[in-house]
Amino acid sequence: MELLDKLAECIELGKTDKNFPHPPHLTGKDGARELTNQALEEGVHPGDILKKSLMVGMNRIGEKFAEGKAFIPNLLISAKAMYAAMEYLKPYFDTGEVQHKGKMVIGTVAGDMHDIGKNIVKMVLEGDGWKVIDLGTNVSAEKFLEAVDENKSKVVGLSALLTTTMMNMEAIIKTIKSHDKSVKIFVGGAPLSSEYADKIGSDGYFPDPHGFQKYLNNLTSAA
Amino acid sequence: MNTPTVQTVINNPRFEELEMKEQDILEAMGYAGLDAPGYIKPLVYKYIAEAAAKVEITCGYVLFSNHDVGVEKKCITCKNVNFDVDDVIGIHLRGATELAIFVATIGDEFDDWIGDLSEETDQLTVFIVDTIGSELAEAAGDWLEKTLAKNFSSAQKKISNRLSPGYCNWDVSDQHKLFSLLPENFCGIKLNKSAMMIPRKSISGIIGIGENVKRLDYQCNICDMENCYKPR
Ligand code: B12
Repeated sequence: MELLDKLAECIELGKTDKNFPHPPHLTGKDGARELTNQALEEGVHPGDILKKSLMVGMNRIGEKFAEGKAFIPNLLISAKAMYAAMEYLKPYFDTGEVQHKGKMVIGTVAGDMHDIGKNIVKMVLEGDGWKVIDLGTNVSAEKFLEAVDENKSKVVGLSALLTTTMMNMEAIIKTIKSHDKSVKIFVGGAPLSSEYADKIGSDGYFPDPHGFQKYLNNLTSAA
Repeated sequence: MNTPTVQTVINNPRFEELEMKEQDILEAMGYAGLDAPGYIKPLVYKYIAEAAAKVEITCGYVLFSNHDVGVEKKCITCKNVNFDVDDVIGIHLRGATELAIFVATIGDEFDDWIGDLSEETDQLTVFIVDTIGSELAEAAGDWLEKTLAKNFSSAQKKISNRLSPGYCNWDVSDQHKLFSLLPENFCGIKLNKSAMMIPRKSISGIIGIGENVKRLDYQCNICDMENCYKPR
């Protein structure tokens, strides 16, 4: 198997490094960390490692998750392997040799302290090459606006767990949109629906991170 | 007779009494009837064991009876508070002569623990611990139900299922009304402006009690609530 395919498999199955005992058929073999290092040493362009391995692996596990064939722990273990590989790529992002797909701001809206769902969305997007600015939980409209401005981000993700906290989304969307109409704002979380997302003027609702990621990719490739 | 119409009860069950099992956590994470990846099980064991020292389980209820209680199809009355509810809730509470407004929580140290883990370790661990916390909060609710059923059985009274704002088409914003019936900071739970309980791993609701109460399954067949996870 080619090096980049092997690396993609490690990301998909969550094999962080040689010592990590999972999955059984890769026991004792190199993991994401070793393979990324090896690829760089062999002169593979870091952008290719990102596109042909990390993104491919994360995409495969995301697809399985969306189909109900994998669960959140699988997604998280893949993300862990992806982060291990990313450590080697970070210097190339810093010099600009590898570029992020874009910057997005994400947070759980004011009144809501739940962040597991939001954190998963963040990890999936980072695995897909986005720079994600995570504002945490209980985030006010002003804080979102400040972060959008500071980072010149054109994409925002809002998360909420209950219908009552979901209602705080509308004011946040209004605040950001009245400042800059071109910022796209997406919403997610258990109580949301497409109808509600339309009603409050958001640019879309996604029940899972993978659908969101695919949509963003189409959006950026069309731009 | 001078029976008080309002009675307050608080219990602190021990961690072991909630009978948390590894399988419950695996199922809550999605692996129902499936084999979870090998690395997950030891983590689940480890953190269930550690959770014992991080919880302060508190279950409490305020019991309303006699003229303080009204149960109609679409309106439940507790003292001076009317809850406008869907038929589903009315059907469950039919025949209730007493209503217990309850909360159950595993305490705020658990939230702090999750916060610390988020900084120290990976999201997989955080997710497992978060799931353990959620299941413990539900298990505290189960414990409370069982205890109530036992306490009332000698008086030949039965109890309904527990019903919570946010389920069965009962608006979450009614949490404000519900909490107005409880003493301040009851069981250490606070409600914020957006009707969210803090500590996070807390649940609330109502249980009907009476000789003619029938304990029904959740009435999912007549509820039109989308995306509800109960019928899972
Ligand atoms: C576990 C759970 C609990 C736990 C704690 C929750 C927690 N996370 O700490 C406990 C048992 C304590 C609990 C309590 C309550 N809960 Co609860 N709970 C759930 C449950 C089963 C899972 C939530 C969860 O953590 N999911 C895991 C995470 C990873 O999923 P997620 O947050 O949805 O995120 C995913 C997607 O939504 C999406 N996503 C999330 N954010 C974003 C953002 C963007 C931009 C995008 C694109 C995608 C996206 O991607 C994520 C990964 O796939 C849901 C039902 C369900 N199946 O969703 C009900 C649910 C959220 N609870 C509900 C309710 C009503 C309550 C209570 C109010 C009930 C009560 N009266 O006691 C309380 C409130 C607690 C409080 N503190 O105030 C309702 C909310 C409905 C509503 N109308 O608002 C739900 C939906 C159940 C239902 N009725 O169907 N709950």
